[in-house]
Amino acid sequence: MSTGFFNELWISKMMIFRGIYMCIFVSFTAILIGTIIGVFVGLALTYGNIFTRFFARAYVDIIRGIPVLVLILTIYFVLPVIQINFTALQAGITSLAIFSSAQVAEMLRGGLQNIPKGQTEAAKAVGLGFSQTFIFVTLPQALRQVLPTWVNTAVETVKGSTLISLIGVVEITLVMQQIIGRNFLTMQFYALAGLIYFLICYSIERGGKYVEKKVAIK
Amino acid sequence: MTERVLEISKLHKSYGDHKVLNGVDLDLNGGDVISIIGSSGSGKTTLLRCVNLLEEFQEGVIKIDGREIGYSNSKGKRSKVNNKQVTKDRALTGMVFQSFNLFPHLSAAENIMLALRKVQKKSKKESAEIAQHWLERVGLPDRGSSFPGQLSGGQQQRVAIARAIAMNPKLMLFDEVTSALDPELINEVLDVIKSLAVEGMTMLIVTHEMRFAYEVSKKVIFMNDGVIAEQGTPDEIFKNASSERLTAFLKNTRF
Repeated sequence: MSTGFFNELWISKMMIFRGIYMCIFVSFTAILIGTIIGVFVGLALTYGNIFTRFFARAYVDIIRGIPVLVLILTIYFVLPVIQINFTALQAGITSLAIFSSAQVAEMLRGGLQNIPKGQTEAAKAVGLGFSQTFIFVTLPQALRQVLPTWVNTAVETVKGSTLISLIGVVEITLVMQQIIGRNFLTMQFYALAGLIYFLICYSIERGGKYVEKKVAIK
Repeated sequence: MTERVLEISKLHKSYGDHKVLNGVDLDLNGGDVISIIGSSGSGKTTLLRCVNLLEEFQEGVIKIDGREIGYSNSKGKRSKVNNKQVTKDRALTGMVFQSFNLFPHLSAAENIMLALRKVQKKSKKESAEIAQHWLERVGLPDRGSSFPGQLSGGQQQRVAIARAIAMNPKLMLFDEVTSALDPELINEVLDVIKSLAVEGMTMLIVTHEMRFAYEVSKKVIFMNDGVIAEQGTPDEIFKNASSERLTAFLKNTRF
């Protein structure tokens, strides 16, 4: 049996590598885009006027209240109704990016609001303008605060990327299903999938811990 | 040395119905050191924060070097100047806070260098030299690479003084800068301020350290209920207090 497994593994190695690549590519892109959007939404939540705050709040609350899978299916199957046609890959990345942007926005708001008022006052007092204060004083402190939560979001996004197999993106989960469909080694290949996800997520967590230690405020 | 640096006239400030400043007039000439004393809630910190434009005020004019800051008056209509101008006006004064407010993610030297680089657009090398100069000046020549969390309260406050003064302000504002310090750390901070006074820095100091106010000031101001209740030379205020309120206040403070 086990020789059969290794034989099958050898035959499917390229498929598996492509699946891993797809998973990492999708997750990384989604986290990157999500973080950028999230920073702006978080800014709007914290410093915006009543209107921008309202829309930012609505965005964050709605996204956070929707399961990632529903988000994926909506973007892939519903948006074409209004003439927005995404490929499965684009739809997958978009939905995961939106998912993570809401998480990032909320955590950044918390991080920014936790910074003592004296910090912005001191920044103003030495003559820094609003955006300089944000970039050089409050954001660096907020980012350190939110790093552990951000790593958590990154891990959630990687795990969420399994769901885009349902719209046909050939990432790790779908690759495994295809392999199993051919050789019926269900347990072995799902275990392998679990192991691969674990390794990816575990590396992100360790990496996060390392960076956290590196940039910790002394 | 006698040019007028700061001119405050008829300053009124209230939070809703609560009047904090009720018509304050105050002038400072170049090189003057004026201390403001008074019980908490008398408006002294608010006065300082108005000069630094950290607080808005409803009435009155604050001029630095003869030019109004924070607001403009044209044809009798008073309006706030734009944020950019507020930032510029604010840079005329240096403020040191009770709670130091150093940036915890930056080293002592970087704390001083940040505004030199980003506001005054000085080169990294020049900023570093200025930072080192002021660190030496406040007695911390070898702590430039230390982070605020690695410094004692007194050391942090001295770095904060260096950070403010490195920007070369017209006027330094000290807001109860020793109130958050352990007693044994107070003097190292006061000594730095005294040495700045000797060098001719123009300063407005809110303090609870009466002996320090007595020693360092040219003039002492006693604030009560949002107005200047009494003012005079240190001897007039501390040795010959006339009004009942001032006598009562001084009786309750350590000298």
